[in-house]
Amino acid sequence: MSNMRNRFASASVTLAMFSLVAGLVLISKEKAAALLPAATVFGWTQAGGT
Amino acid sequence: VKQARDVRLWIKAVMAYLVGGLFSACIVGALLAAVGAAIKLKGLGGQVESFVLPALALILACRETGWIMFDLIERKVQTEQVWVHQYGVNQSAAMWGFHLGLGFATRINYGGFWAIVIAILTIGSVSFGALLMGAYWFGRALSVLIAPGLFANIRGSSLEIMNHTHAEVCTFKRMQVAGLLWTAIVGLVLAVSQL
Repeated sequence: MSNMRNRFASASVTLAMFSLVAGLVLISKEKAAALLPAATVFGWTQAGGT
Repeated sequence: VKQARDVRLWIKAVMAYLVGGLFSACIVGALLAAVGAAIKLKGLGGQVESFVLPALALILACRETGWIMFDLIERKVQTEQVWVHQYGVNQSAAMWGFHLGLGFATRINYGGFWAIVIAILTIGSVSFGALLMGAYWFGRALSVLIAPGLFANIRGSSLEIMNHTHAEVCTFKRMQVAGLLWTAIVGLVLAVSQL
């Protein structure tokens, strides 16, 4: 089961890093659009904690 | 043959779940934005309103770190598991998606959801409201999409897997704090640009 936890944690960190990069790119183009990756992260954590 | 049938059933159910949730999430996002736009039209808020998002995001981030404690406004219910017995796999998957996609209809574990709601209300753009709530739903449905790859070759009952997933609370809280701080920064940038 620790294997599963590692995979889940890795997926979470990957998503967080990807979101950060996407957010940085988006804020330079359209400020409000930079909220989109944060919304995806919020959805991911909500699903995991439900 | 059975495996192929299982894969087809899984794809249909996941698609029904995704579409059902995306539909309700986009409607809720658009409606919230329409409410936000109506508030602006009535001349309420003004420049102070612009700073509501960064302020609230910071407060919610402090809540997730445990520095301050308060209950989130939420309906303390989960979606109806019995639907699968009443309506079958595909229809119940669509109904679960629709129900969870509404956002307000079930439990809200972390403050990020409320930050999104405030962002949609303050920005007041219908298309952006639908897009932002759609992005939230995409993140929520992502775990269902990648579950087969994530849990491949893992031994244990589905209940054990779920329990271990729930044990990731610290990771989720850290991600929430990071997301809320980012939301506060973006909210501040938006507020300052409107001055």
